[in-house]
Amino acid sequence: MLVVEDLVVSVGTPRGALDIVRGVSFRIEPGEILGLVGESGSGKSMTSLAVMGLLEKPGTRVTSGRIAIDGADITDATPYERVRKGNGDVAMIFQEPMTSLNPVRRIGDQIAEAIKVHDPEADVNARTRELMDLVRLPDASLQQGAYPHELSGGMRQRVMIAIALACRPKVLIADEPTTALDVTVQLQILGLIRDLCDRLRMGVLFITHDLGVVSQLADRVAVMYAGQIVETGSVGTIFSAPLHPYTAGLMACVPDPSTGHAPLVTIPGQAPRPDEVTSGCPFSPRCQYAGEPCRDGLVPLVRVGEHTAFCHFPLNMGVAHV
Amino acid sequence: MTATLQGVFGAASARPLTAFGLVFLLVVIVFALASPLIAPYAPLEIDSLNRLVPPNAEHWFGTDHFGRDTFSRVVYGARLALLIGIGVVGFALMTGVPIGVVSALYPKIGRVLMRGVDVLMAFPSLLLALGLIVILGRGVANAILAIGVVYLTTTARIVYGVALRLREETYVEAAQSMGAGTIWTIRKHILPNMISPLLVQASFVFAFAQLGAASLDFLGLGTPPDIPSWGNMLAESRLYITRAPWLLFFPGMMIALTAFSLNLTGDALRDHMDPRFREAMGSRKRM
Amino acid sequence: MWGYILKRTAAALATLVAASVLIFIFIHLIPGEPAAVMLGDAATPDQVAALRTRLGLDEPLFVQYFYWAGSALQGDLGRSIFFDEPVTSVIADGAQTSILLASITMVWVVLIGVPVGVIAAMRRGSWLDQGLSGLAMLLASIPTFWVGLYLILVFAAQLGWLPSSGYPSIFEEGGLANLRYLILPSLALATPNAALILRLTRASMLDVSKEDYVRTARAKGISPRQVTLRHILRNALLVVVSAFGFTFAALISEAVVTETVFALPGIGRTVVQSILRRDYPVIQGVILVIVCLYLVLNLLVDISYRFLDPRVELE
Repeated sequence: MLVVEDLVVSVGTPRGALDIVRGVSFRIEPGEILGLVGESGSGKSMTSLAVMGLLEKPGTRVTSGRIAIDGADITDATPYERVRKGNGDVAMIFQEPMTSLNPVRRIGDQIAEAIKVHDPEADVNARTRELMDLVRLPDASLQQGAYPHELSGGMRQRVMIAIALACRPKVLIADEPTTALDVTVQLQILGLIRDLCDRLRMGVLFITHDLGVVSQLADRVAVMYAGQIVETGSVGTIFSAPLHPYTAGLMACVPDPSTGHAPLVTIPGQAPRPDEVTSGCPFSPRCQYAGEPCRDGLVPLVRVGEHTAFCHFPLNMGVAHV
Repeated sequence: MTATLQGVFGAASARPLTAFGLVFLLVVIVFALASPLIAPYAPLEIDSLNRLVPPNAEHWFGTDHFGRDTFSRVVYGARLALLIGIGVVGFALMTGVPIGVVSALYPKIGRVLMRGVDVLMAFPSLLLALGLIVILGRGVANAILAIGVVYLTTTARIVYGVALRLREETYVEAAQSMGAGTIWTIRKHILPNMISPLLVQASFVFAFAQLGAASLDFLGLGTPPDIPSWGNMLAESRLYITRAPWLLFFPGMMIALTAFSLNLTGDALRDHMDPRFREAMGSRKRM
Repeated sequence: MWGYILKRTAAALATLVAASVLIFIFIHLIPGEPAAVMLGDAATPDQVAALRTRLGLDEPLFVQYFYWAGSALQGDLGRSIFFDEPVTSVIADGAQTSILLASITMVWVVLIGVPVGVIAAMRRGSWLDQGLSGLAMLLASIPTFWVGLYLILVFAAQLGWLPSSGYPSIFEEGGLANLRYLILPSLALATPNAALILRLTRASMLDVSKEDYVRTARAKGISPRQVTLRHILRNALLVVVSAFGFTFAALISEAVVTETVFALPGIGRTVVQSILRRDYPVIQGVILVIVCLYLVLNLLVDISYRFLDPRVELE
């Protein structure tokens, strides 16, 4: 089980450190997919990189909070340091399968490299094939010797998943893994992720800005806004009865195929940049329900069963929760 | 333009080396503009009683085998360095920019012109310059022309690369689809965007022109021997390297530090440049 | 792949033909009657006429070109006016020195430029990196002949460790020990070129380290050292290798000056002396050979680069 508590990530800027992720907490059980939803700039990618231990840019670091997997603290450790301590249980796949594989090395070698680190005893060749079968790369024996440019985008993302699985992860982080792919290929990759999650009892942190993908794939959803998680709950409750006005606004922006018309609903205004965030609810300047208490001070946590949100004036409180 | 200059001075304050480069270039310019005021002696003044004198209070950089004051000659040498640099950069820009822009806008002409540039680039740079000197003969203007042709090629390549990229960018396409004339497109869109890549290229060409000119002088094929250029000073004193090592030190240092300062400036400019065009700036051709 | 090689070879040949036309016409671009220019002021009209006939200068220009190019294809580059022997043997005399000089220089360039560039990149932003990068920039700005003269002063004149000039062939008395004559010249020639390769290596290491696939490699949990060696360095070297052809050409060019400083009997010095002696057939011949060599080297580098980088097959 992955536990993230009060995670704060800051980046160095010429004008000093700036918090990009501001106190994020969540947990992922084995076999569960948590969808982390937010607009670009909401801090969701930075959260995933912090969990992965890949905050690389100088000055970018976890300033407080804790990341633990099955009780072992892995905060601030790079993947290499985690492997050396026997905690290399988080793996990650990225948004751009086209550029995420080394163009001048055969894909078999790139998978094998991860196997040698995480399964030093294993028969590398056999394990490579096993993984390639697992991600349904056809003709494993042929593909092993192929270079990335010889594969399609969907195939490359499968190779990326095979590399991630070679790490024998308890938690897989998928950072918008299908955004760069065709719609039909997207569905296949999503299906593969769901299937692997169930079969390997692996937790998945699925990062996306696409609510449609989340509704199909995830078990639970966390909605991120301006570096904070504003609402968390199961897919069913969040989609049927969102508590936070931001979540409701996001869902209103999604075209509804049943009506045949794309509603031109947008949330007015823009998400604040990290240097503009002030105290109070960060969404209040754009929120049609916002009142005086929203502008300042702490925002209360509303809880309806497992469904939680930070809001003074939550919506749908009277609706029966599924 | 102002943004670029601000870039240089911003970079200079962040990087002490760049600041050094700018200060040194200023010294060279002052030397060149005010040589008679700065130089204590005439550059050609012979003093047969004081030959090969080591640096002292009277002759800061010592004297050469004719008893001429090395410091004064170094000061006057700055004139030639500047002249050669400005001449080569001017020639390279005045030929390279039209060739590059025209080639990018008219692919048919471009294929021929850029092919010609490729052919010239097949000649190693110093050899190309030497060949031109054989045709033109020795002299300052001819040295400028010979070195200028070498950098015409790299300039044309860079301009071509940048112009191609700009041409494809939507706003140029949009301007053309709205009926803008070619000249208008060049003036309004291509040339303004070309300024910072060209400034970078100009500083590198200026730097390498110093080295090229020094090589030609050293081989006895550049500036006429009676003109005190830094390269000529090196060529003349080379026989005295063991007896008077300081003779070669100062002019050589001037060449090296001038080229160094220009390279630093070019680097600072490039770091501040639009990243889209940085790729096109890859080639650095040293003579 | 073969299509690519053919295409590149054809392009190189076309460039060579165009270059050869330039090299051929260049005699005719010198103001004055070519035969008289070659023979100098002291020549009698009879001598000029004789040379005109010998060089076939009475024929139309394009006929002359075909004669010249035709003989060049058969390995005949004409006769040196100064030595009165075939240009090819004049070139052959200098070739050994020049090729050895360029090769030894290339060894310094690779041995010093690449590893130091890697170190600078790995310590990016440190004092070491800033010092090395600044030093490299300074060394790239120094005239080679100036470095050469001071190397002579220190290591030949003052310390007496190495000879200051000349080069007896390794096939003559002394054998391989004669290579010591090339140590100082090659170091002088290597100085700016190693510095340029250092900067290139550093820059491409830094470029590659920003690539997504390097992040993937880190995510696998392999050690930082292996990330650098297997992913960053290997891919960065592809760029560096493609610069070697360019560097080699720069070496040939700069060797002209270095060979003069160290009085080495190479083809660079032959060019300079031939210019001073107005021995135009030699100048033409040497330039043609060097251009050929340059084109072949670039072609080889290009092709080997495509072998090293599997992506290219797509094109």
